[in-house]
Amino acid sequence: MNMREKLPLILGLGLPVAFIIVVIILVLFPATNSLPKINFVYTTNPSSRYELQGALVVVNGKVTVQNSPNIFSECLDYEYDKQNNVMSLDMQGKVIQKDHCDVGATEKRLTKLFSMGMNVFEHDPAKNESRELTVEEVLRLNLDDTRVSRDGFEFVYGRNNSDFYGFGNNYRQDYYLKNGRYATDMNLVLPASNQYGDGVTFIGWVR
Amino acid sequence: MQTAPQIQKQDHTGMILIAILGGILLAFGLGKLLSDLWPYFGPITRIALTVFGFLIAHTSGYFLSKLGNKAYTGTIFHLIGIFLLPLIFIVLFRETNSTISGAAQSLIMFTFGALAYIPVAFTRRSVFVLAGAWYGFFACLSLVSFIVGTNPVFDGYFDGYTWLVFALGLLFIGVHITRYVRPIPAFLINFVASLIVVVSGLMLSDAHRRDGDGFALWDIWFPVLMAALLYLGMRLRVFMQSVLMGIGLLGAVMILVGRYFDGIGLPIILSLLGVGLIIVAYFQVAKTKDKVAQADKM
Repeated sequence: MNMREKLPLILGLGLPVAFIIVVIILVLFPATNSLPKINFVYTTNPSSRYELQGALVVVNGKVTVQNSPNIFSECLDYEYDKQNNVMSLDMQGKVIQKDHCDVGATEKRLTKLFSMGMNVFEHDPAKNESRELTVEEVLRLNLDDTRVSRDGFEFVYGRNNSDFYGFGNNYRQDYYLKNGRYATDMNLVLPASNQYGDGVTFIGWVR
Repeated sequence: MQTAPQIQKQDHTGMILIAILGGILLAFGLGKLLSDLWPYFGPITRIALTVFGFLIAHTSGYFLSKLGNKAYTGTIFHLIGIFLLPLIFIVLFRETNSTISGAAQSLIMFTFGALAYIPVAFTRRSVFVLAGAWYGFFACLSLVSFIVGTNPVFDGYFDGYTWLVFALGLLFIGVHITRYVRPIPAFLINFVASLIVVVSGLMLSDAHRRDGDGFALWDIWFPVLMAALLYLGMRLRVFMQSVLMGIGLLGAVMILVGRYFDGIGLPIILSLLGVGLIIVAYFQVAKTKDKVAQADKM
């Protein structure tokens, strides 16, 4: 068998092997200029409380709570008769519309979110540790809600690492800080009820 | 005198159909029986049952093939074994409450399959050649998936390139083994590998276009790769590969044209490409005719 006849076999075996070697080199020696230094804040919620995701927003650097009707029944557009599970009607048989919703100051709203099972954490990427924050600490925070931090890192979800045959054993969501071709695994505090490690919402970078 | 072989051939086809039907009924019957009884079994019984089923299937397949029976019953039992292999590992990981990641589970399963079937594939039996190609291909993919873990640096583009590279590998191995195996596995391997190459390549081209990346090396070498594989397909007279690579080349050129010529040059480019393809086909046919003529002379 001469070289010409062997060529397909050499290519067929050599291409995958070369590719795997390149991947191993890329994994072992990631290119990076700097490590992440800026702390970030995230929230977690129990698996039964998905309405808590996105409840916190950053406005002008301060944490505020949105008037979500799923969380604050005061913010439903219509009055609701809880006993009979119907909308309340006025004397003319029309649905009673509310003109405003008043659920109090941010502190009161935050306390309600915390009572529903939300936790707020500040994560230090240098130590790779999270610290739980109280309502007062959350209110004192000064945050950047930009996607990319000042040092060029971005909060991203890890690759799907489940099996190929699709039975989804041991799938788990991981979280990373990524900058170009470098990514580092973040050890976040996850609620026990979210067995796949989901239910994490990124809020912002600490200024 | 010419009718005898024909009758034999007809009988043969009927027997294959009956054997396939029997295999399907057997699989369904056993499957139903097992799924009814499954909750009453303990973990060890469950694992033992799947392993036992796998061994029985291949042993029966082996002996039925030895009988010299041409009804393909042996092949059907081997096929049952090949499809039972993933089940063994799924049951094993479930019942032992394994905590290793899904990628590692895939790697273990497909590597075992590759180690089991690729050596047997050297017997040149079609069913093992295909099983070896299948498990080998996915063993490579799951090895890469295991190495990169959950690292998000390896994104959707990376997945596209992974499929492309391994499908290319499979294509070349398929070209190499064409001489040794029967036409059906050779055709299937070539067809599937070509399809993966074209689809993953076009998806990558489209992703590069959607992300608005500037002119990249990809824009040159993907159409070149398609053209090279088209040439290879025509050279080796592999019809499906030629057709698929032709489609791939057209798709790649159209994506490029859409990006850089904004629709104005599209008819011209398409016409030129069409003329090019016709010329290539013409020369190929002419060459074949020459060869036939030479063979006739000799």
